[in-house]
Amino acid sequence: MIFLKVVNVLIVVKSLGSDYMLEVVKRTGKVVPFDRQRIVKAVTKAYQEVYPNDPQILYADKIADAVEDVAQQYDNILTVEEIQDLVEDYLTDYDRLVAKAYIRYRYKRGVMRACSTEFIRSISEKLRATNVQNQNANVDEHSFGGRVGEASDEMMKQYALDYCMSDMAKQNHLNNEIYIHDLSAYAVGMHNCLSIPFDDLLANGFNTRQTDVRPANSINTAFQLVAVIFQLQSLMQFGGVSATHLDWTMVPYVRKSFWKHYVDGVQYLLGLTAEGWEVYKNNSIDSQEYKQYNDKVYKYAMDMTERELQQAVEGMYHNLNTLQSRSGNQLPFTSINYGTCTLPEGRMVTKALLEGSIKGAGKYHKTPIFPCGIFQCMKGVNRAPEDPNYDLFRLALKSTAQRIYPNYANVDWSGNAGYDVNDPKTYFSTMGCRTANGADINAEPGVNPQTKDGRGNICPVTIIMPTLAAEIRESWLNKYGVEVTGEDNAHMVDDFISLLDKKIHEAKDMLIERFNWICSQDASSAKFMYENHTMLGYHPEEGIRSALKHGTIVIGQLGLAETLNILIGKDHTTPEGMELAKRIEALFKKRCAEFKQEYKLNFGVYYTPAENLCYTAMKKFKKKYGEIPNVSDREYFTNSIHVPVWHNISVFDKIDIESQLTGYSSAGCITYVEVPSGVKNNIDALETIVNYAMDKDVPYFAINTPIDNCLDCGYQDEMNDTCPQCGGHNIQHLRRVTGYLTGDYKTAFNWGKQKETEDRTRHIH
Amino acid sequence: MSKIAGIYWDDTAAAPGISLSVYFSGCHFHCPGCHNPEAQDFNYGHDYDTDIRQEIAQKLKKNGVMRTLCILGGEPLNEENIGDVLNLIGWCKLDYPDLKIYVWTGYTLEELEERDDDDVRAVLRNITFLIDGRYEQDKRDTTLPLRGSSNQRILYMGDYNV
Repeated sequence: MIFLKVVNVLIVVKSLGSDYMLEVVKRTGKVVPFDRQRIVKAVTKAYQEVYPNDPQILYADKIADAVEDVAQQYDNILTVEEIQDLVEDYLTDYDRLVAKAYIRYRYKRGVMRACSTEFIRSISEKLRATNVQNQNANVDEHSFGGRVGEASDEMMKQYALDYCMSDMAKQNHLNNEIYIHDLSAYAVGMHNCLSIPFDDLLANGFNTRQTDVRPANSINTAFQLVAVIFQLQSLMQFGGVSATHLDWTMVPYVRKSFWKHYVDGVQYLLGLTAEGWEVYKNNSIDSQEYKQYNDKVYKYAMDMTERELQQAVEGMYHNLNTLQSRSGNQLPFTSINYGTCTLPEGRMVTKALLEGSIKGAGKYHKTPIFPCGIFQCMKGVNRAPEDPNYDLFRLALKSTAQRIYPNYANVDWSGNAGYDVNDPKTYFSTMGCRTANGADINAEPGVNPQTKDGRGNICPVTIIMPTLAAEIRESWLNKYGVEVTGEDNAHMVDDFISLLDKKIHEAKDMLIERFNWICSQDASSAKFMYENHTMLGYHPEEGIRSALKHGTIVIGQLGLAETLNILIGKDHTTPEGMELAKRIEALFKKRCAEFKQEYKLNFGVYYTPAENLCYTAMKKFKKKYGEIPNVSDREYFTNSIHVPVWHNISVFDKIDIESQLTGYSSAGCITYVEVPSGVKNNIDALETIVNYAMDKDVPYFAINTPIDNCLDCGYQDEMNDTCPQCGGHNIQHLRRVTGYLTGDYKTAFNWGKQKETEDRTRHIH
Repeated sequence: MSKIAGIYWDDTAAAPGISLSVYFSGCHFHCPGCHNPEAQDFNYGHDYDTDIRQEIAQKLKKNGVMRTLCILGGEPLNEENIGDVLNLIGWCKLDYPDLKIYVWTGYTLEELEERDDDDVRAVLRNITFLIDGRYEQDKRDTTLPLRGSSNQRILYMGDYNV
């Protein structure tokens, strides 16, 4: 409309003016004086392309003149495109070869222009936060930091696609076949995530750019340093950070604090000298030296230690929920695993962590978003009433019922075989989202391959299986023109398996490409990480590959349920669907095992979180294939091998189905069930459910229970838009995104994930 | 024949642990604020027959998880329903002698005993807990485990032998 208006006005001016000047309308709608030199230049360029050795351009001026003449005769002002059409016409008369070169040149410019317009548009959207998508619920895309970050991400992504990878990789990504995660971090060569070796860092201290930090000497300092180290490490990478056995890690610092308080007691309660107590500094808090010496001092030291621990834990929760360290006011994605230490100090730590979680943060005791707590279930340690940490398991369940956290890691999981029962660094632990470290093929002599500390995921890709299935199905439909049934269907499935196999191989190549790119970075890019050896096995003389090779590179997947529906019309809740599901997963597992041996890199099968991908991949899919019932009639693809969230299925049946597939994944998976909020009055039921999942060999299990919180009065229960206590409407609806929590799902989740959340059905009454 | 208003095959809301909860239709009390008013009608829901009884017995240990049997209503222990309730309990106990059974009734234990009925006595002897008494709106207290109002009682019946 604006464009037309401008033209009209100018036409009027033109008809009024006598000594008027020829004008053109630019693509932006702006009207500028006609510049015949532009035509001369373009024609010359095309001419030189055809006749590179002939400096004489005979007709460029003539064409410019001719076009100018014709343009004068029009009533309206011509657009740039119309002018170019005229040039094309005249050129064709003079020299068809040059005309062709001109057309090619024009087309190329057009493509480039389209790219840069699209590119600038998306950058400006991000900069001005006009199209907030909540790709990652942890990022505030409205904030200054978020806008800067998101805008520069656009540039980084384009750069990575154009300059850092093979065309095969780029095409797979753009075609919605194999997705490259965290593309914005590709070009700088960051890696994904890390389990931090806290035992070493706390015991030895560490260096930062500005200073050095001494070893922790009390439980309070140790917990504050945990938050600091989480922060620092998370700036070295694009993904999450975890502590793999925090209860064990903290034992020495509980002892140090206890000793301090005990000595204080001796001095100030008894009025005696502290001399001679130095030798007990690392004693167990249960030791006879403490117990027998003086009851009063012992009780004082115990109370003070517990109080200090409680405050230390509270401080850590607050720090991890307030110290926004990345652009977009992001908190570091932090996870803490705990629950297996049966020493009195470790038990004390687990208890304090769980009580802190139950208590919540802030004035209204809101559910802490971070860290993601993960309780490590272990037979003989905390599973049964006669186990020493059973009381802590019950406390964990109580916390889960109220706070969604902790989730449950299965130390007895068959996939973590080979771990050392005497070394908690090898116990099964996970990142909150689900990413886990399988056995390390590059473990150094004397290091257990199941060691988790100092290792993480280097980079993931995800195969969007529904795209592959739809491609195959469409090619069969085109070939035969009818729905594929019976015997033919089996052949179509075979075709899919072949294509999947090809894509698994391409995914492998894409990962190796990126792994090498990451390895080519300089250690100075991540000084904190390499100077302090937060990543295991770094030998400076060998380069950073010596550390990165202990990490995992993983092939993820999305939408098994939809894939099965495309191929055979039913998902893995049916026997036929399960049979095909196992065939697919077995292929992933077999290939990854082969790649691992062949390339001596830690390839693994990954059941991708796909927080944003579940939505964006579906959007692209719909554009190409339209709405197919039970495949693309929703706003999201189903997560990995999960039973679709809208399926009406019991808790136990869901676990039965998914547990048949979780064993194929070595690089991380999660199984969750939806339970009503009322379960907080029925911890026995939760215990039955969690134990059931553990006994079915589920590696990582989580309970989803709705947490609705009135932000006006702090009331917490399941509610819609009105608080039953104060009538307020300021309600926060907390739901799990992938493995983590975030803020209110109605504002923090992307559209697809919001829809998925609303489709979630209860698996138990 | 009694009617079943509904069944939760997997229930966490009734008793501790996982339950299978059966709601019998029909109730004469009509307490104000009733939790399940539609189940006051004796004709509401599906027939209690052999099929449903067998399905219940089967699903009590589905997935290998031993559930608690919860019997609610309506009113399971009135004269119309008591026979079928006893039938259900009897058959389930036959399959699972250690089965835990919770029964919710609007009668008080004393009222039930006064009825001097063999079926009632058989039910009371075979269940684990009885939650008794009418729902009284003015004594409503949702914080009480297993109950709706404070006049109601949780009675352990494991050693009941009258």
